Amino acid sequence: MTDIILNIFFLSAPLMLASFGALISEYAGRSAIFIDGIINLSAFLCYAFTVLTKSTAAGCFFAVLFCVLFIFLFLKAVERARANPFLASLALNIFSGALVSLLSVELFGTRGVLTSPSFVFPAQTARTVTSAAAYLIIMVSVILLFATKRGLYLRITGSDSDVLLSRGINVAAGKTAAWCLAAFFASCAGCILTLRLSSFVPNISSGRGWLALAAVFLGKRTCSGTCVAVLVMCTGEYFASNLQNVFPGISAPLLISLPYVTALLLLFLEPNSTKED
Amino acid sequence: MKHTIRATGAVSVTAGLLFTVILLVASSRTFAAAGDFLAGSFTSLYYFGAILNTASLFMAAGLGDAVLLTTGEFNLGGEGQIYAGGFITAVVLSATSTFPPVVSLICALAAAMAVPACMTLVSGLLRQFKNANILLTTFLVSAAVIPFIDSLIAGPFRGSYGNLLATSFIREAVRFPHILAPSPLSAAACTLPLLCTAGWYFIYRTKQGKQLQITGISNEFAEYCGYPRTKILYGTLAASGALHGITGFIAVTGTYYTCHSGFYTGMGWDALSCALIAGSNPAALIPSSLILSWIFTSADRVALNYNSGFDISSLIQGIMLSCIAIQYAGGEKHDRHHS
Amino acid sequence: MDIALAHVSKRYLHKTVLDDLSVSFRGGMIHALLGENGAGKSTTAAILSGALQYDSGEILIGGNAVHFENQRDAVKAGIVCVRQRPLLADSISVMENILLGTEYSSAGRKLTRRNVLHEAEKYRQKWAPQLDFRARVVHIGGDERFYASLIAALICGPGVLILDEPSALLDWEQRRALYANIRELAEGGMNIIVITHIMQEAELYTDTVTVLRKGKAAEQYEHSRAFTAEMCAEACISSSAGAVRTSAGEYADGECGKTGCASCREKCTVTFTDITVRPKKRPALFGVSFRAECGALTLIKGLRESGLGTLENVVTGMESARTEGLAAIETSSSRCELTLKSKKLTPHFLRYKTGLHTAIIPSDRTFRASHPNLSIGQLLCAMHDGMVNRDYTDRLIRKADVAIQGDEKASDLSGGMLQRLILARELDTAPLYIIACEPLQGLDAQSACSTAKLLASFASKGCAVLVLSSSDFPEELCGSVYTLEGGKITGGNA
Repeated sequence: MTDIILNIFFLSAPLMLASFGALISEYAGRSAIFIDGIINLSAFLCYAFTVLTKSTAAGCFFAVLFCVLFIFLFLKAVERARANPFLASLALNIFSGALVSLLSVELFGTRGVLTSPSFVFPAQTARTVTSAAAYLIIMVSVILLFATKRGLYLRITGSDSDVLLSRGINVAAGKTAAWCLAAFFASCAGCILTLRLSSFVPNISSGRGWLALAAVFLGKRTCSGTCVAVLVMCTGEYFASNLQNVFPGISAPLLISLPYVTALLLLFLEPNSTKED
Repeated sequence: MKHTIRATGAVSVTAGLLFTVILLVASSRTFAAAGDFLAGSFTSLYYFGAILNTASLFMAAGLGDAVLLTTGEFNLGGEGQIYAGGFITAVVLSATSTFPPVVSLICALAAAMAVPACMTLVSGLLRQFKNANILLTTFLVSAAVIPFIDSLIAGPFRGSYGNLLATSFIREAVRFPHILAPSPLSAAACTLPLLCTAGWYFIYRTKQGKQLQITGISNEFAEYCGYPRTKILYGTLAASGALHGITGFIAVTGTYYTCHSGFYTGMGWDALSCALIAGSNPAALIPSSLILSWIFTSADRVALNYNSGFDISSLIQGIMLSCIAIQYAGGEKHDRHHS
Repeated sequence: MDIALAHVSKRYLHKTVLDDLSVSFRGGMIHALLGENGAGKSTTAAILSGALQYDSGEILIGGNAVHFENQRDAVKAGIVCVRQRPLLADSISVMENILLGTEYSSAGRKLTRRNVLHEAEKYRQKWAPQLDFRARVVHIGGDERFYASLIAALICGPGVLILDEPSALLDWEQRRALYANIRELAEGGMNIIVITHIMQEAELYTDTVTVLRKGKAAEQYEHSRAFTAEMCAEACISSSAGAVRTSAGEYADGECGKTGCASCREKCTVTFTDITVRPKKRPALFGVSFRAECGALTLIKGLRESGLGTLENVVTGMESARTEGLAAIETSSSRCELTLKSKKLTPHFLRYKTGLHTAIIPSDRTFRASHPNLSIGQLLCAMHDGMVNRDYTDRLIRKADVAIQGDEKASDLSGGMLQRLILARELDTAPLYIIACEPLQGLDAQSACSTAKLLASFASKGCAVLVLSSSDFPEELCGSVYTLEGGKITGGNA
């Protein structure tokens, strides 16, 4: 039983990070639709930088840095062009998928699975270390979000921007910070996914960006609710991934749809939510 | 208002074109690819017909997006709905192979509209009873359905044609003929401009259309006016799903004559882009579909002829949507007065 | 700190809100700023506090021209504004709200958390001992919201304090105490500008009175004692182009056979019994019962924190929380009874299914009875059969006596213009049942009087008129008066 619980926590780490990023963007009133694209992009960059620099730490660092800078510049372009942030981040999802494919061909000569002798990690160690890092990042972030003034500003940037403006607080900076933080968490999730597989697989996110948004909604946009939603979804995923051991005839595509089906079921089953909620 | 839509739509398309040309020149390191991109498709009957055919598919799916966009909602599950429409078309046509062709086609069309409509109605139920975001739930339903259909095509409904992951080819009698051989342009494609015109009339010349527009501006005001919000919610969602299903129906009966795995890829997002460029105006969907169809068809042509990779199409898609985003400034809801 | 506006103008597309306004306010005094709806009072406050940019002119502080890019600049310059609807974040506590932005206090003072807590506690004990700093703002009453907002403003140590309708959420005792405390601040050198429509307050509590009319300073009194209510009534008389019509006949087409006059039509009585609702973010109602009879104006008075807003949602069919109780609509020919739990009492039902052509005038006229992004045509034809109709739109615009075109946006309307258009739209159908929520909100004395008379005239023609009001609605016009307090109702026939 302990093994199962531990495995579920390990499994939840990437989605937990992505969901936390989505939650922060929700606080700022600007859903980070780009999370799925950034997970894929950062996973690729983590692989690419690690192979090129022969250093895992450098690979992760540059991948996260690039993604955060990319989103920062992207947001500045959105603000400068007075574009719709929602549509622009939808575009980013599509764009980043194509970009990864192009770069993969340019750098490694293939758009398929990427492996390298300098990108091999023991499975158990990778899982444990990445999970510990993920939960540590989340705990520190929760403390900063709920125990500091800047965290307070971030939490009400979306719902009470007029209050913040009337007190002289820069709301635009808060929204920028929220998206950069969302990119940070999403890119960490991407790095974790690729490190665990010791390879880069196209579309490695498997829709986790969208599931993260679903988890935030299921958790009623609260920290604890989002965490619970993630754990429930991952519990479903854990048992689903073991289904093939019990029912060998189940086809892989069906298992692919299970996380989405789980999310929908949870939406149906959660207690009634009204307009005022 | 109309001038604004035309002007801003033109700006976004022009900007997207410019980026595309720059991209092509950079990737192929010659101007030949860019030149071929801009004019090449008109020199070939095949590609010219392909442009018109793809445009018709965009019109159908785009109309589905436009109807929902008018009420202020997004249908992000277009791809799954198109796929479901196409798949059920192939299945019904196969199951009704002994029926007269017209009856068979009518049954297939009805099924192609009903199944995707049911998919969108799931989102309607979640919206009404759980206040769930339609944008998210349409995507989730679509993402859940696509692998399911993939498994059916790879499994019990797979046709016996070597390695092709597709259903059996539909019989000759129920195929819409190609009217501009050797291009895939089908006779069914000709009905789409009429459908768009009917959509325009409904939205801009009827009382129900006025209610949809006002609902899109303010849900709270619409409720206060006593609009039948439940009918509007389910009606527009069902219409959106059904129109995406029609897209799948036309693709199977007019273009591919089978439902092959992944035929829907990119269609949903492209149609959404068309609807956004058109400002949700069904009449403006006709030119916007033609232009985007030209862009994507030409990009694929260049990818084939110059070996530059089909990722160019996805890049162009992303760039176009980014340019459209500029047209739709101020996407954030009013903080204190959520609709 | 002396502050002045010199030749300030503010224009929108079709409207000039401030027209070469020059007005000065000396430090150490309390100044009243009066004017009718649309005169430019709130715009003046917004410009002074940096929330709005002006098109021409200057703001002078101590004789030196300053320019505010945003509200932060104004706060740093020592100008803060407490709005009529206090700007507070509902989801966090009172203390957290007070802490917001304290790093931008005036004169660059850096306030530590300890300083803020200490000063806030001092103000609380003096101004609002009942205020609980740990309470979440969503759970506190209107007067407490005002004091929380005021304390947050005072923490910044402003040189100029602007109070927009400070009395709106306070009773008479609280107003007296407020002005006594404000007087102390003024004597300490603070420049205090009070925007109010209550003339007696201007006369009693302030040092100078400035009356705005059509964006200009129409009258200025260096001593408020020289200012009397009669002078204000003179100064505030609207031009003939801006008045609310007072007769039902001027709104509803009174010809029998067309829409029918009230005496020939059905009479109706609307009864609500045992309304109980407990919304999560609004005050609750407990066993509220009342009746609105035809031919009479029924008033339910109370404060929003007593549940008036919730009651508005219930009677208009817009309440989303689970509601218990019964609603009965009785006409000469039929009786219809609904349980509120069934959620069948909706605006659609009230307008189209009862046969009463119910008119609903909500308190939120900007985002419920209208929306800034609607065109005037859409706003007026929203409930009209068919498409947006130019003739119908033009007719209602003429009836409302508003200078606007059908293809302009609702956002171009001032509050008063919007009010008149909404009244014209709602009352055009010759309703038998009128629900008017906060009908006098934000209106100057003249317009308030006209609106009250208009509603009374509909009642006298046989309509059932239900008024929900937290401000002083003339009770002499009412057939029944109820009082809503703490979610419970008392009273009945007057």
